[in-house]
Amino acid sequence: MTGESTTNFYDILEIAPDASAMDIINAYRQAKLAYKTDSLAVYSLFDDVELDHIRSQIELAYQTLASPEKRLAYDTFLAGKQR
Amino acid sequence: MSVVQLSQITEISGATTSPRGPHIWAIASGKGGVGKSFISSSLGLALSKHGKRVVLVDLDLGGANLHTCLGLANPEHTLSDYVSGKCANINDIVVDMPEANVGIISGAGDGLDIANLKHYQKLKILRNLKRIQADYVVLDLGAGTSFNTLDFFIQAERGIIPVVPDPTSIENTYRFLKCVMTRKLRGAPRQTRKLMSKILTLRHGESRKIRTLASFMATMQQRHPDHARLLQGELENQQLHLIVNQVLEPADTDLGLSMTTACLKYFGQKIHYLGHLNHDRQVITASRQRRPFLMTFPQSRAAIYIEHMAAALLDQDNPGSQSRP
Repeated sequence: MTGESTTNFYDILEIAPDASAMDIINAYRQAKLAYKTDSLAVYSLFDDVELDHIRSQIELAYQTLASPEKRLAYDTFLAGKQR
Repeated sequence: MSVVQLSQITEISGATTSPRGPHIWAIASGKGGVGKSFISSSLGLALSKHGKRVVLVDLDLGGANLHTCLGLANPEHTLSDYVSGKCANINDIVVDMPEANVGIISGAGDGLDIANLKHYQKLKILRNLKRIQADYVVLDLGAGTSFNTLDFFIQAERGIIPVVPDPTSIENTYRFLKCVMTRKLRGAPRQTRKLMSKILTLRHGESRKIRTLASFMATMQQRHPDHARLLQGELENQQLHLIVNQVLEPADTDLGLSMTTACLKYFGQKIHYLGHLNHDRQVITASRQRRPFLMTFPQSRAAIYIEHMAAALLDQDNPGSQSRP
């Protein structure tokens, strides 16, 4: 998808940068539910290629933010980008 | 037909029950048969239980039947009387329900002309909605994406969109939302519209044009932040809500939140999920009896859910005061 270079992992999971571990798990579950293969909610809105891209983004965001070490490194990276 | 500019809809301070005029809510959908009139009438009656004066306006032009949902067979006055000039004051065509503090501007028996409002007739209605003597004015709009429907919908401070768990309804809901947002953006100043056109013809690395409103707005933000802020203001001047109606299976209850998640990704805009209503045969029973559902089956689950939705919205309009009937 184009024009989304500013989107970060927190945006992808629709959570705040100070989200708790439980917030991250809940947001991940909600995102998985919304974009699951037979989801009615995405009907006609995204094509299959876009859906694959969204699902892979969600997985990557979760794998990063659910791990305290990876999250710390990612937050440091984000802070560096903002400076 | 041109987009209705906000400046055209001047707020006229008439003799309403509130100095700022009534709150205006609009109920609309991309597809017919999803329960707009049922939800409009039920929300109106639920609001009146909180002591609010409510006027329901049947703007399902050419397909009006809100009066039937309220149990009113032949309202004395209709919207045609106002549009034609037969009644000069919009409040003169409000017909009151005997049992509740609810009035209706009906479209019962309106002729062919009303379904094809002229631009000046639409403006006449739009300009005077704020003059209606009420705390809440609820617009029951027709299905689809006609300019008339979109312009009435955009005028409301809250837009409520019923959807049923069916692909056709979901597809038309998204189409309706796309049209609403496009219509809002077309109201932007000329310079902003020029920049929007440039962005929309850009091609990116994957040789794909911008496909989602979210990516369009992100690109506008990167290149023209001032104009992007203006557009964002236009998009955010209305709260949008989703109700999942006619739920049959437990899994259908997930649809609302999932749709709001997908909407945020696609449109970049928050659509608020109000809740779901189960499929309920009592709705049909009340309709066949030509009685308002909320009055006929007040203890039904659907009636209770509707009252919760009304209370939640009232709380948002009046933060700090708990709205319980």
